[in-house]
Amino acid sequence: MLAAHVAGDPYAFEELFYRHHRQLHRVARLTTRSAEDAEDALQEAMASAHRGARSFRQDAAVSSWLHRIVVNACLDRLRRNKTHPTTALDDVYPVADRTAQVETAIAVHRALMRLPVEQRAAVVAVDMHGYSVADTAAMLGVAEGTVKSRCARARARLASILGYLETGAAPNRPAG
Amino acid sequence: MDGVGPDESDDAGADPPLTVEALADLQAGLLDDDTAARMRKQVRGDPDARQTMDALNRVRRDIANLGADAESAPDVAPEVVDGIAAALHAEQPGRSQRGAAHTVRPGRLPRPTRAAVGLAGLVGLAAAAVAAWLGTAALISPPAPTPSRPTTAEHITVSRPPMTIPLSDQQILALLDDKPDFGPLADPQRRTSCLAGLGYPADARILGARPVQIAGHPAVLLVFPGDTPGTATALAVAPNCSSVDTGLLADRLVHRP
Repeated sequence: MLAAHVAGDPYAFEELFYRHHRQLHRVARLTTRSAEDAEDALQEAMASAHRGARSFRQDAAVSSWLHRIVVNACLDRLRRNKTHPTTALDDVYPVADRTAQVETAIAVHRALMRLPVEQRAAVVAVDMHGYSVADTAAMLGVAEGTVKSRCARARARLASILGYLETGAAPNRPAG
Repeated sequence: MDGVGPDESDDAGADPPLTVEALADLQAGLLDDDTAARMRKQVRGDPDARQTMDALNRVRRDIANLGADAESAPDVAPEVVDGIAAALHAEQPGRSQRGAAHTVRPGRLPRPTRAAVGLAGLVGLAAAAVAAWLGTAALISPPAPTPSRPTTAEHITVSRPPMTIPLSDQQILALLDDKPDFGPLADPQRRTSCLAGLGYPADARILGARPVQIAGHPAVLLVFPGDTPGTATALAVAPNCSSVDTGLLADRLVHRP
């Protein structure tokens, strides 16, 4: 379908967006300060992807490619707007037929949204999208050690929020 | 244990405390090699510390799984999706007047209309093979600007009178019984380029063809199999149709008996 878009089919890219929009919006929300920023970044990213479809390499899945463009746009926005305030979570989850896997995913998403956006963006880039620490640092305009530190703080906090530490608390100091 | 943190100088023999934060630092690669090695040795001998590391590793797995899980992705407000789709439409040169035809309908997510999808014939079961071929072509062909081409007569309304194919459905279907007359597109290379611009592979089946005039403009009518059985797609393209610009003037979906 992306190839169809590249060849000039005016609807193929729009169809791609519709197919992936929920996941793309989620990753945008996870890596931006507010819902408004997420929407703006997603629109920028999709426009960029739309224009750059000819550079798409067939050795990557379209979904991964779109996610990467969205993450790049969001991290760049964070780098540019370091002082803007962060707003709280306000998401709508599918209600019907929640499997255990979906419940876990929702819990993880909500836990991520409780983190400061700097920690959240770092851990989403590294752990969700497999970005290297070096690439994440470059996109955020910070040192690699800063990314590592943010990831460490994020993971420790998430482990606490999600209750994963309740049976395995470290002996010398409480978690969190 | 003393209170020396994992990222400070250690006295000889002092082990870093195995707090959640310290183990997270270990996991994140924040510790120098010696400290990390000592801590790993400690973890191996400490069941609670191993459980904490398991918890931290579980967090990483869960985040990765979240990214791959489409089902749990929250719904997005329709106006947000519509807005982005409308912006994508507006990006395409010469198409903004068409964008309104099948975008913002408040409260629901719009889809391309049937007539519009009929043009492509690529958003269907046969699309996979075509798209794979096009993907390869896109890699090896020089980049081409997106052609500016409307898809239906009603959408070409900016500064010209509406364009329609000057043949009835029966006359179009009659072309299927005749030998194709490609007119200016007789040259196979030019025709291949035109097909690429329309989104078809070089060996796409052309059911019929003939030169036509549309509102005084010379054109070539090409008839392809439609995207559903029992249909055909008729496209009227410019005589200099190429992968860069097909000069598509009009199209019609025809039902075959």
